[in-house]
Amino acid sequence: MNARSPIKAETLKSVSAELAGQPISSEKAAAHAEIFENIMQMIETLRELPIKDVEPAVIFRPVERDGEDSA
Amino acid sequence: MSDITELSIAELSQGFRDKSLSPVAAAEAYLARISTHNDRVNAFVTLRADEALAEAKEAEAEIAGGNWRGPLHGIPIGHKDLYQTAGIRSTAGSRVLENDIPNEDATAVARLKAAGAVMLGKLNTHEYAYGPTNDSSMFGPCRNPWDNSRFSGGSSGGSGAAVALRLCAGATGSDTGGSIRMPAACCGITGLKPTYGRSSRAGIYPLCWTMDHAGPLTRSAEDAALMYQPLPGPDGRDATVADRPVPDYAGALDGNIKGLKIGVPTHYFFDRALPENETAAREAIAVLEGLGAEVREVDIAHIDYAAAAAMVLYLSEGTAYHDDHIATIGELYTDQVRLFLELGNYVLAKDYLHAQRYRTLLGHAMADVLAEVDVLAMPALPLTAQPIGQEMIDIRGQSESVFGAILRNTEPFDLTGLPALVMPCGFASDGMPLSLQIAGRPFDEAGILKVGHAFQQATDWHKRRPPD
Repeated sequence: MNARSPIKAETLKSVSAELAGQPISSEKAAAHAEIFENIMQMIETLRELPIKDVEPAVIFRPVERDGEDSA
Repeated sequence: MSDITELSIAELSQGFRDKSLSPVAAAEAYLARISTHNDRVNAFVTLRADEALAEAKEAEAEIAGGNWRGPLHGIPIGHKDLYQTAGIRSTAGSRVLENDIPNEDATAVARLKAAGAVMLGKLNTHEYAYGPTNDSSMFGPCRNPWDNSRFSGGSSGGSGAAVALRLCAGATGSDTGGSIRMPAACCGITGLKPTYGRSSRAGIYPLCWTMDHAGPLTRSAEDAALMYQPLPGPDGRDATVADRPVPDYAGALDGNIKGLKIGVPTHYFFDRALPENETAAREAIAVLEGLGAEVREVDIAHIDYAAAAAMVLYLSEGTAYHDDHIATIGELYTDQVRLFLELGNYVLAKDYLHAQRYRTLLGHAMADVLAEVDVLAMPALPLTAQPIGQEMIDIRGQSESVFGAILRNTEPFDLTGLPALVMPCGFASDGMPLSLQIAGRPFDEAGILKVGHAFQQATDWHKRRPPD
């Protein structure tokens, strides 16, 4: 697994503004960085799982106008 | 008869049908209790007294005329305010929808209406169902009927508190990480999360499309069977709903669990619970064993990753749903929910898909175990309802967030979509209810309800009531 760098407030501020289109203040970015670093430590454990040949459990259904399938 | 609100849905239904009881009298009694008790818990947030009485009168006239629609005819219920109700304000507990009046009923609302249920009003919810405590809501926190300083559990907190305090005979809820089962457990009632794809979520504001479920909160497994009966089956609105036969849930409640194989997980569910929660669950399992069930230990592979996967899914899907509002009217959300929505911007797509792949992995692990046993049993929660606003808790010497802890034992069954039932099985030294969770094979709601009913035939925990 590739090593990850600790999350920086300026990174989250850039992601919010430049990728999400939802700018946040520096203060909020600093608070987010502390919280999201803890979340990211949880999330990255999933990258170690034996899931190479496992398909994601997402549901896709082709839309059929007659049946008004909403998927 | 002392108080009609003490009666179960099954008892009310029988009385309405044989005309020994009146739907109008029942609706009046519940409305009277709401007027005197709702302020204690803040469960009902919209009341429709006149309309409910009109519906009760209509039900009474129909039954008198020989047009009995079924066991829910005339039964007074409440709907979680996450459910859209035509012509009735439906807020999801959020200022974003403060004055929103839908044009169409959620499928579950429409089907319960068609079954003849009387809608007393709408019930408090954690804002957009995005939290397990129901202390973040535009209406203020929903309080636990056993101790008003503690949370009701969430997100269907109004449903849990109202049913426990006898403000309605049953209520609807939704469950993404445990939002039916957590308030049911915290308030000492019975909650059923059905299989993913068993019944429609159409018209229920989503939290996380791939994990949202809809189901009832009631005072017994028998009542859950009766209230859930009209809900399964395709509606043409929710593409996930399976088209398969719907069993007679109440008809399957014969009380016989002789030879039933109960799997007790060796780790995760018990060893990270408060000792009283563990003990009560083990004692409840011993009751089931005494009724003839065979109990054996099982090991569920990969279970420890459940919280991480669920977190990714909440953050990603929740933020996607609210994306158009975060930057424009973000100030309308409560602080906690807005924080979660903002954090969702940082999750990578590959981690979202890792989480979805993990669900497949966990699903296979659960299926392997459920090939050997019929159901799984464990504490519903690893803790009891805590004081409103308390953020951290110590469990077996380890400090962790209340949010993380309370979701631990329920989340795996949202991730795998397996049906799960919680029911009261004791009280802790803090006076709060303790609860057992039974999970089953896909689409075997009848099986877990049968276990719940057998347990409740042998015990009386489900008959205990909060102080008046």
